[in-house]
Amino acid sequence: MSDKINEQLSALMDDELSSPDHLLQQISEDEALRARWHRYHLIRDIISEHAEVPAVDITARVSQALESEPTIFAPLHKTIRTKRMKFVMKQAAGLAIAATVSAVAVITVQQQKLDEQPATTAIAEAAVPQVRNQVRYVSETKKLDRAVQSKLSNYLVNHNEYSVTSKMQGVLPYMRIVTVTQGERVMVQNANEQ
Amino acid sequence: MSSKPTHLRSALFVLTVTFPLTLFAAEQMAEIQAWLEKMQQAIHTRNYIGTFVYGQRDQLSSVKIIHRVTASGEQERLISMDGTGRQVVRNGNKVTCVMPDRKAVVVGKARPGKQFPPVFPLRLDTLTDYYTFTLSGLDKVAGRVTQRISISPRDKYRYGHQLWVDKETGLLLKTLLLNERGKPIEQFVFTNIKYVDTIADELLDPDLKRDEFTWYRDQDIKGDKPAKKMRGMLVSWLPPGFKHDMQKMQKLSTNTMPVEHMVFSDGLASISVFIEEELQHDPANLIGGSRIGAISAHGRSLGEYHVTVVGEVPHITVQKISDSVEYSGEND
Repeated sequence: MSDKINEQLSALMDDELSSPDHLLQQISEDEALRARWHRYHLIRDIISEHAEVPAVDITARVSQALESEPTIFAPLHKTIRTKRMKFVMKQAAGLAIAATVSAVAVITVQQQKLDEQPATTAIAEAAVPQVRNQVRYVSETKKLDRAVQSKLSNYLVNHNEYSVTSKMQGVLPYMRIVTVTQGERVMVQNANEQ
Repeated sequence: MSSKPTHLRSALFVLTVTFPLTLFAAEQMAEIQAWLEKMQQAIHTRNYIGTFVYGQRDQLSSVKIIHRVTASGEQERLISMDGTGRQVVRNGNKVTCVMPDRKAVVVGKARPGKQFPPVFPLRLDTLTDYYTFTLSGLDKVAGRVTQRISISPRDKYRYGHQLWVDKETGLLLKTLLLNERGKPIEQFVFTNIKYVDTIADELLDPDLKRDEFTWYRDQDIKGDKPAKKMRGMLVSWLPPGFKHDMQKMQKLSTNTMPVEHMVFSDGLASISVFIEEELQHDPANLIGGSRIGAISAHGRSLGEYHVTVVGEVPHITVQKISDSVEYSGEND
């Protein structure tokens, strides 16, 4: 993939691309480019270590581009955008491949652990890869203990079989739980006994 | 002056303004009900090929979907577009998960036995006590004209929804699950979709070199039996409108003891309560709150039992339910 495209992707992430429609169209059609776009987000997440990204704006962008209508862009993740951040992203664009390699390393390690999991959990995980999870797993400080996570995942699988919300769209039962490998603690005011 | 004209005016006001408003509201409810029914029907009747993006909080996945309905049932193939190339193929009740990255294939059943949830399509007459439904105009998703429907909770115990339903076919093309602050925590969006008359068999074939994979069969399929004797545990608080849907004992691979599983629902949101015996403290049990994607969880110990509550509801709901579980003394 050309440097020019990399530059453009980087600019798009910073909302600095003046006419992004063409690039968005490309992202929506080109698998490799879409994967790269995901990786850039991943890299930025790692660099910035921001935990709470408001839910994915880019899906809206991609579908907007597909409709080929005039598009008004809302700034993406405005809170974390700083001068330093932009600089890092430009650099990161060139380093995408290296980052992918390290992500693969993490996945490999993680997979050995995953293999110990029961089949039900495997079913839940099957639909979608977990690149973002894997990497986050390493840097997540408030993550659940692995044994707790595994047991909770199994509960979620069972819950989903009976969930009304997940059945509104036929495929959600499979999709909803694919991200169960990462749970996070929620602080609760009144502590439990024990 | 006399008050007559005022009375008349009020009466006229009531007639000309309030009455049409009620009528309008009733009409809109009927229209929304029709949309929801159309939506339910479309899921099980349409052939289509498309790509959707699924996001949970900060995670995002792109998946290709091929969906076919034949006389012998529904078939579906989901192919992950991100890296590992994982696939899920569903043929009726049989689900096959292909994980090239783990050289593994897992075969299981879609869901056990009877039809769940029991109430479908969504019934507006009961739901409107707990949610407000509004038609929010037309919008475009994946190049298709869609009717947008907003569902907002009337209290803090449930989440809101936004639905985008294909105007022509009724298929749900986009959904948002909104948390208590109105922020999307889960979304599902088609980025392209093509409705077709027929779909060739090859397109639904996961295309495996069979001997390169290890095959697993999900052994938990037959483990569920309706419980003869529950443990005398009682859920003493539920948000208004939540009803008992289902109860069973089941054996789970991660648990040594059978688990009592209860499901409660208001017709839109569902909550599961899991109760298991815990004679000695099990460090794998969740104590306190957790959040996994769009799902909230809360666990606590209760004497010789452990209670875990999960559901796609705000955390306060699972916590309050978990705190309300008590021993009813009606055990054997």
